[in-house]
Amino acid sequence: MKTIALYSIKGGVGKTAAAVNLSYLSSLLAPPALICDLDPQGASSYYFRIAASKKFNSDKFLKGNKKIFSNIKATDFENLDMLPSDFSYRNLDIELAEEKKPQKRLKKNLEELSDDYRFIFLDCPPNLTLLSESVFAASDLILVPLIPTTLSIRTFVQLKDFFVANKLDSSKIRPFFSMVEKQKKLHRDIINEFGNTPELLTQMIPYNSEVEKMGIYRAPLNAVLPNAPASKAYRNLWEELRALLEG
Amino acid sequence: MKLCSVDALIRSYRMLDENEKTIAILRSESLFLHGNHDEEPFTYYFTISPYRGYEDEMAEVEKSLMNSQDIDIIPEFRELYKLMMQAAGHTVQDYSSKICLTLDPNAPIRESARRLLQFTFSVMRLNEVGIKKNIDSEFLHDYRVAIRRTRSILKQLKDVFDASETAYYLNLFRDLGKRTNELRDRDVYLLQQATYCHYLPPILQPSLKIFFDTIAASRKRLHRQFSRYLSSDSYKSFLEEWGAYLNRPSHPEPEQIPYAFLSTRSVAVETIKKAWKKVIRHGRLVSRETTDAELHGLRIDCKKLRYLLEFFASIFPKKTIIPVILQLKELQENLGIFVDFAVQLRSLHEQLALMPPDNLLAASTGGLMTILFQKQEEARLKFHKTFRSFDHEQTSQLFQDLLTST
Repeated sequence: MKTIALYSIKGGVGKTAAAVNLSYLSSLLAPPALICDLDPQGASSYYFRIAASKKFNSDKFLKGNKKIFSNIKATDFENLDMLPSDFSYRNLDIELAEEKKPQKRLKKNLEELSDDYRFIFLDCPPNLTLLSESVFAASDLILVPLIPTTLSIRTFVQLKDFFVANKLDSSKIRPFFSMVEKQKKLHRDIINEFGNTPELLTQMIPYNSEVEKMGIYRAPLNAVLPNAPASKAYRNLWEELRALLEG
Repeated sequence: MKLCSVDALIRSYRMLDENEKTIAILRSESLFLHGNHDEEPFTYYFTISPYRGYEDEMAEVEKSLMNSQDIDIIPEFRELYKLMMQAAGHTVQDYSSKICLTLDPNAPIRESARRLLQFTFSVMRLNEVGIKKNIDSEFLHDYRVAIRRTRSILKQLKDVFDASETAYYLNLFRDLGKRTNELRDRDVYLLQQATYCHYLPPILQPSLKIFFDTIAASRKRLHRQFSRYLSSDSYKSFLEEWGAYLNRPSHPEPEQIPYAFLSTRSVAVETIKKAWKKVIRHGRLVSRETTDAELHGLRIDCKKLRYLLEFFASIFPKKTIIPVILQLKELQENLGIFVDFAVQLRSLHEQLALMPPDNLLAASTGGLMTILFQKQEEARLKFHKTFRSFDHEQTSQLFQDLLTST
């Protein structure tokens, strides 16, 4: 089992779209897969038309094992399950703080699912909290979508600094350019300047209005429009990831 | 054995919640006899398979469906199977190798014996197809039991029929039984394959496979041979002859075969009493050494008694015959284990001479023989204890109750 986190300190960078489409592709090409929606806003749950059952909350999430297990729901796509978000996740970091080894808690919970899934995707909330630290510890790879803008690059540098300061394994962090608009000079310049950073994944995800329409289809773009430019880009990104993780 | 072909017409529907998320698949299935699609299906039903995580929602849907008048409860597989067989004109459980005749205790024994023989004959015939088609070793097993029962009736009720005719048919059935012996031996081996492998340490298991491959190959040859015989003219003429004999209305002269006119009840009581006493008498003679020959012999005595009890079971009250059979069964199991292991040991020893020279194969065969010998000896040691509980006042009382109960 490999765990991939989609993470960004900044919101609105195409994180959820990447989590939804990559998890869908992995369910097709390297099944079975699970996507965990850790963001209390529940965007990826919304994309899969799934609401958490009323009894589920962050308390149960932390208890792990059977509790987690019973809240997993099948999506409409074969071999792809989801652990839906719940609004109470907004308190997840507070509750984590009360745990004995908060950073390791998530990792331990996910390990219990290791026989059931080949890939687990974590769609994370955009902030730097105790939950993020748990995510960092639990993930094999931390995918960071970067819009080629100065602000976005700045938050990425902040993230790397945080890793160094907290003695975390920064080699897990793999950024990729997201929502790229080649016609914008700023985007081109930043890609040129930043493009030979060694940890950067080569595949970029172009800005595609179809991605925004996912909220209307409420399904992964790759399932609805597999030939859209962004779909093809997600597919290449998935292959790149898989080669990294499964060599 | 194919009894019928059924075509299923399945329509699937997705069940959606208010978000248009699929929460279950509803399937409607209509079953037709193969090729009869123009007719009404003989049954139809719905199944609901909830998606993971939507069991609660589906339980509610199911509850409201169950309350509706037009929905039948989803049939169990067993029910469904019955419906299919019914549609194809079969009755489920119309076959049993067990004797399920109801005999008239006052009828002349000749009539009852004839009905028993007709029954065992029908069991033989019913199993032929299954043997030929090589579906399962149970077909041959039932076929052989039917032969043994036939012989047992002819032998144990020999005064009921004309002596020369009885001798003639006994001979034919003995030969027929012999034709199946080796094939059954192989079946028994192959059925034990997994068990035998587990008797051995993992290091010796692969070479045992060579041994079983040889067995399987010779079983194949024997099966072909016997199947050919079942299709042969000589077997067909045997069937015709025996069938005609069983259905021939014969009116023997009372002075020739006086026994034939005794009531079924009196013959049953007499023969069972005799066979039971024989088991007790022979069992008591078994020496402290409990030799192979003694146990082999006693096993046959027990079998004879068991067959008689089964033949005449219908004329005794159930509550008196069942305890007797249970007592006997325990003794038979002990003797069965002993004899089975003895037979397997002997045949392993014979096989050893025929197998390719291979150290590991020799080691695994040796290992297996050791285990089988130990098990045989365990059964031998248990014999006297088992027999003591059979040769006991309580068992004796059970037999007395039985024999005076009609």
